[in-house]
Amino acid sequence: MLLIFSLLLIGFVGCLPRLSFIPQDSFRAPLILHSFSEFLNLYCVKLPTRATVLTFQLLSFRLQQLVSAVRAGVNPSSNLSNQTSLWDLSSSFFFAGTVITTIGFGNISPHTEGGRIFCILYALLGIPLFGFLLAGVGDQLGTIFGKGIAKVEKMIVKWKVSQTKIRVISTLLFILFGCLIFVALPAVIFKHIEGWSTLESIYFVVITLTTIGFGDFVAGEKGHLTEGGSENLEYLDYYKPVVWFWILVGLAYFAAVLSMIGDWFRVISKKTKEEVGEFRAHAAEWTANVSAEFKETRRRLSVDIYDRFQRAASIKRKLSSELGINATMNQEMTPGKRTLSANLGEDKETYPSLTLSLSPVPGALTRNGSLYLNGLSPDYADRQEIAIIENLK
Amino acid sequence: MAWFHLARVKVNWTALLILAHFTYLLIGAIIFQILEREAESNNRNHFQLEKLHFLANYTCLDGPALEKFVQVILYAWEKGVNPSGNSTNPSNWDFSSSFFFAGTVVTTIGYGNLSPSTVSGQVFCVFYALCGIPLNLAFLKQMGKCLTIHLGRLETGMVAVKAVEALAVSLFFITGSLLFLVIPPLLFSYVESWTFGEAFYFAFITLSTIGFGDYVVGTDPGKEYISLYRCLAGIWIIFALAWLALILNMGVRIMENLVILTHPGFKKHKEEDEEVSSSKLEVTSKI
Repeated sequence: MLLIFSLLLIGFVGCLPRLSFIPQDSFRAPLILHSFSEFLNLYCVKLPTRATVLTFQLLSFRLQQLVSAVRAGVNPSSNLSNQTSLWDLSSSFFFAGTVITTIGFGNISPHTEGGRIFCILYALLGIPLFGFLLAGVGDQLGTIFGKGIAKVEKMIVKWKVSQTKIRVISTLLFILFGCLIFVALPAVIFKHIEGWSTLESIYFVVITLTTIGFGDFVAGEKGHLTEGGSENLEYLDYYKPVVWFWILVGLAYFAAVLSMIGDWFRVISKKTKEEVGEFRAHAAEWTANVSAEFKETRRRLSVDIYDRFQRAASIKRKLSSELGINATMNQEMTPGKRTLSANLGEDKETYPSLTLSLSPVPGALTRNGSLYLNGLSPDYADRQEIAIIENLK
Repeated sequence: MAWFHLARVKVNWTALLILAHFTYLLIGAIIFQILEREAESNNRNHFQLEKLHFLANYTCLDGPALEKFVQVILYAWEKGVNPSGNSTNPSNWDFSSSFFFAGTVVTTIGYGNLSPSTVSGQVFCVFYALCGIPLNLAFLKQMGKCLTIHLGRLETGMVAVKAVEALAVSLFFITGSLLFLVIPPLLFSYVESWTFGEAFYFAFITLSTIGFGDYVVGTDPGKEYISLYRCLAGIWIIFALAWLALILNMGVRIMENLVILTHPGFKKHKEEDEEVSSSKLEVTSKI
């Protein structure tokens, strides 16, 4: 859920660029139209009427032709003589590389049917292959870096710095060092060779190494689609393979950086999960405690009641045993005792409950039963026992 | 990805891969060259002929004038304005187009027909990509996992017969392919007047995140698109990528099971290494 929300947020934030782009765009189209009409005025209106006048519709038709030519990769602004093919070996090599790294600049793309079908098959096989290669290179980089870090850690340990600080410092060093080698240095080189501005070179480096690959800037392709199209920059023969090697290692570095950022996200989400989990655990503990206490009190109460019953039962047994001893004794009830027994007789309703609850105890029951069965009527026995209990008290 | 040590021979995996990679590139370069070069020279000749015809027909123009004209058009093209059609084209940066653009950045497709041309736009694009790409990868990974879990639940609910399980998996695969790889290209070919082959080529290049930009939906100035067209295309891309993530997940698991079954003697590295390299693999394949 969090991820879906953050993706929506990304989509929303991604619309922010349009705020910076729209003014430019709306200015540009009229500018271009303006230059077209200027062009027309300059070249067609002043000439003698025998010349066919270019109307705007014809111009747009011409534009469509040009656009399709540009799409097909043909540079319309040069003659036959000084053009280099877009598909010589080094450029094809570069193109194959952009396919399997999925950068896909797009300044060159296959236009024949056979080329496209082959491109699909090539990508299906090549992308996983490149994935494995990248994992391998990344591992090598990681081990090299790890050894370096171990050496540095040995030195730093002497200064008695804590472990986490070492980790943090090493991560920062990794990022800084890698940036220097894979981003800053190539950017400077590109700026020098391709003639881009600083921002444009850095932009190109980042867009290439994250494999987005817009294609508005491409290293080594300057000779093809530029405003001064007739001048081709002379590249050294090994320029493109070196660029290719840089892309490979730089991609491994960027993969490591991106996975580190991903790890941070994961750690953050884990922390929030932990906190939520802790909270839940606390709540569960509390409810468990409460219910345990409740059960405890109930248990104690029932034990208490049971103890009392047991005591009453034992008293009753004693009484009945004494009754058995004094069985022949003349049971004379003095008036006082009779009134007492009569009063106590009102408590008889409690007594059945006592007997009833005492019935689960088998031993007492048999004794009581045997007592009752000895010919003593229950009522008589009740009154007698109550009187005896009172006397005992 | 698991690293395997063979019983006796320790293969230097990296060197082997570099060699294989280089050979693959070389083969690709040669074949692409064979296939495309001739067509390119044909196109060039054709275009030069067109130029000459144009100059012959419209004699108010001479060679340098035409070159200047072409420069203006190229300038427009580089800045992302499609010079054909008139100025009432829908803006390239209205809401749904910007949404689509943000999607192509975050999924690293990067068509290139549209790219930030202002300085602030470029700077923002760099930072946006650095944050957005890992987020997108995490999202896709999570979606793949969720779908795999749901699929697993579905399977356990069914009869534990291997044939039925295989049938269910293949059915799922087929419906997924239809939904994401067959029906959208049909729609695109209908809306954009492409052939089905071109639409399928576009779908493949987009979903593998290569993104050449020679075919992009919603950029024909002569057509009327519904306002949410590019938004819907972006949503299709995201879901199709998630489905591809699921397929990749399943494929990796199947491969692992197969390897374990056939080669029980292989040892795997620790779980940590596996996770690190598998995340890198995912990062590079961007699925």
